[in-house]
Amino acid sequence: MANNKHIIHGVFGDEEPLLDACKKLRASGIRIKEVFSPMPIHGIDGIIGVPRTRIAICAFIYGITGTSLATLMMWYMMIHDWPNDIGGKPSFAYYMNVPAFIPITFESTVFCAAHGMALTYFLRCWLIPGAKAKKS
Amino acid sequence: MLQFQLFFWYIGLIPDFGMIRDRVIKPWQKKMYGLLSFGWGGSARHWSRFEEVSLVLAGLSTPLVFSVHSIVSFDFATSIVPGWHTTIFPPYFVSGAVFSGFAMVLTLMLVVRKIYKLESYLTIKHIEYMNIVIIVTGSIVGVAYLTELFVAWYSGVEWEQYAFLNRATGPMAWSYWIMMSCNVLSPQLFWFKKIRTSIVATFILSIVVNIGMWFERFVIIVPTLCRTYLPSTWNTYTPSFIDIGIFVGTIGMFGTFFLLFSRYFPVIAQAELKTILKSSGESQKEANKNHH
Repeated sequence: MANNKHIIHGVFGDEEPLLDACKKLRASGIRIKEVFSPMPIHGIDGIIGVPRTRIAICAFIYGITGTSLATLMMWYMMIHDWPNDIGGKPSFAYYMNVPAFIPITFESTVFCAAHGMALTYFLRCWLIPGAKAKKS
Repeated sequence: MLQFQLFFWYIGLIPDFGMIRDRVIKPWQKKMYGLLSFGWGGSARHWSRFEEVSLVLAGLSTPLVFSVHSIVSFDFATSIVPGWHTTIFPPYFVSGAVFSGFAMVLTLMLVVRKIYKLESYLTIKHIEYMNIVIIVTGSIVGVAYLTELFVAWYSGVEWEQYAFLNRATGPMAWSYWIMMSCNVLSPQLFWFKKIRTSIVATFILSIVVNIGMWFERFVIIVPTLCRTYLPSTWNTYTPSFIDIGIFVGTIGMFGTFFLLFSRYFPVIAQAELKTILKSSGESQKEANKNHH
């Protein structure tokens, strides 16, 4: 079984021969550890058996978190703790004053989704200032 | 918003920093670009995450542009100052931002294109499409100016009517008419195909639009604040040393950072270009073949 530990490196000048070679290797049951390229190669994930990234799901969860935090904050400030009568519109309940809360809800959602997603991306790929280039 | 833009901007730059790091020879350059590239390697997993992040951040930033400019315009519109207290401000500011943004990008891009010889990457077709966006948004801004005048007259509110009469015919009417001619009339020249595909004409008109949009802010703020409710506060405006200093200094700071960027960083996202280089190169070859 020692043969299974052998590693083969392949260098390709173009993306089409690379994709062909990947398909053939996978068909003959050889595992492809990683592919490095100077640009994104579309459709390579499925061919070399990399699962689809779940980073967009993370962004959605961060966004929902942002919406919830903003809603909780504004409900606490504007309805529960210190209700104000602004322009003859008293703060009886959150849902009655929702139009006034939309901008902050939106901003907070985008803020949390973008920051969470960018930081997750940096950490998951380990892109940190001074990190060594991952080339093996 | 700023942090969001920084993330978007820097995440897009990282693969190119990685590429430069692998190509430079001098040790200090290798060190600098190595530090900037955050250890980018270009593996398939990283690329798939990179593309997903770029897509989602681009999708989020589009509504964010609308929200930012609407909220900035609300700062004016929710005041009770005549001339600012108008409901048309949010769409008017959003289209004004797209309008002035495209003009500013054209001004800078045409210079960079010439100096760095990017004529085959930034083609006349790109410039023409940008000019079409300028006609559309410039016309929206023009309609907004006329709507403001109409609503001021139609509202029957004396203060509102006076604010707009003062803008157009008062002591600072020159600024209003510079704004009108630069923002509304000059972009209409782009209806002529000869003008919107000419680089010299585009460059001149883009600067005219920049001047017009600067005067739009001037017209909204200065003549309005010179004529408020209390006639005893009426005044004229002369810029102080600090005003001029901030004006010149911010332009200088922007210019310095822009020049430093274009000297040391890639002005075109090269990793993105590489994905379409082959297909567009081949279609261009086909087009040339058919042409001859």
